Amino acid sequence: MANAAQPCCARCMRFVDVTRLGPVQTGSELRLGLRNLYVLPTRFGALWLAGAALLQMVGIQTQRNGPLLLSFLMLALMLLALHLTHFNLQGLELQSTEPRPGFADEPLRYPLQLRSDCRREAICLQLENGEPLQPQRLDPGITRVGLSWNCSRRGLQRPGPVLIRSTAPLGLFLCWSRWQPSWEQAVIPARRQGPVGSAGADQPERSLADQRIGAREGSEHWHDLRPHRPQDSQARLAWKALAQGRGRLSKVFRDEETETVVLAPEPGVPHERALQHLSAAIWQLSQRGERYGLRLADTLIPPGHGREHRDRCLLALALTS
Amino acid sequence: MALPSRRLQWLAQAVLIAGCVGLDPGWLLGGFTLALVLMAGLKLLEARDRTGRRLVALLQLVGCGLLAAQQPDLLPSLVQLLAAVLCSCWCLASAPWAPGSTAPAPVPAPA
Repeated sequence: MANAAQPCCARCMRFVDVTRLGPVQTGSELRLGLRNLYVLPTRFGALWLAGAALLQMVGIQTQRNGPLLLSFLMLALMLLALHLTHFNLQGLELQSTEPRPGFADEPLRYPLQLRSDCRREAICLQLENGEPLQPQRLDPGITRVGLSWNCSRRGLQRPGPVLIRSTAPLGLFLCWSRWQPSWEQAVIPARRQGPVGSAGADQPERSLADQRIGAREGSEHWHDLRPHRPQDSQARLAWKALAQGRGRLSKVFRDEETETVVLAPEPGVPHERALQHLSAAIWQLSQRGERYGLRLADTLIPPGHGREHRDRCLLALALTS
Repeated sequence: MALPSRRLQWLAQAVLIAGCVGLDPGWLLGGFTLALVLMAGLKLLEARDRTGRRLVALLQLVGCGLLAAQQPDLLPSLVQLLAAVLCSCWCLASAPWAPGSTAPAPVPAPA
């Protein structure tokens, strides 16, 4: 159905897209060379060739040197462009590096490292079904780029083949190669607002609001008084209350940051949708600096906070069965 | 490096039109040459992007060759040479790598 919805010209262009020709190279590294680079004239190159052929024919028919000279000049330039375009990509080394996790339904960045021993012009890189990078010049040395692509499924996903192509220097030939990098990228469920269940690590499930009210003791803010226990510190003893004859009481303090919630999929919500809600909730709690944990069917992450903890929870969402 | 001015192409077009003076439109090749030069002029009026203007340069180059087949004398040959040089310069100077190259895209910060 998606193909039928495309305009006819778009389908034709896809059909004549010559960069889909040739086998896809695999591996964590690729060095472009004679065995994995393909060259064909561009549309402008084909017109150029047709013009040269026309002039050749007219020159032969009219027995004049002018058109012949011009046609030979055009053909020589074309022959030169063939090699120059090929040399522009030959010897370039591509290497994939470990990609960072990203969210589904949002642009993902797939990192690549390009090593070149000379300057190269107008190199275009594109992931299949991704957005192409602007043609860029590569200076000698190592260049790092991030290719954009989209994915709607969570888990470890591999983007389509990388297409590297160039028409430099004259635009008469297109030289390309296709390569499937080996690294998989972790795709976290898309962030969608919705109900989120919560469960203690060893407690029956209860609501998110209830659990956020119950917080652990700390030392930041005074909260309440309670009967003094022998193991309580003398520093916590409420001397004023003792002087008033109210008995030995201990002061109870509470840290705001110790409010803890253990997130879990909301019962009754489809599993994938529940994971998306969890993804949004984890992101929000992390932005607010709150403590939270995560309990999934096969994973229990104890409460914590910080960027590493957030990434761990999000990764667990991406990889859960 | 800046793109060659559009005036350069108009100059080549003017030289080509000047070279067309004296062509016999009744002859097949003459008519075809006139049509080609006219088409190049119209395309030059319409073209806004570099691709379109490269096509104009190619049409002008082929037009030069056709003129050379019909006017082999010295003065027309010099005019044709001038037009061919202008067209070739534009074709080479408007190659994709010339002004369009950009700095490598920075690696974006992770989410």
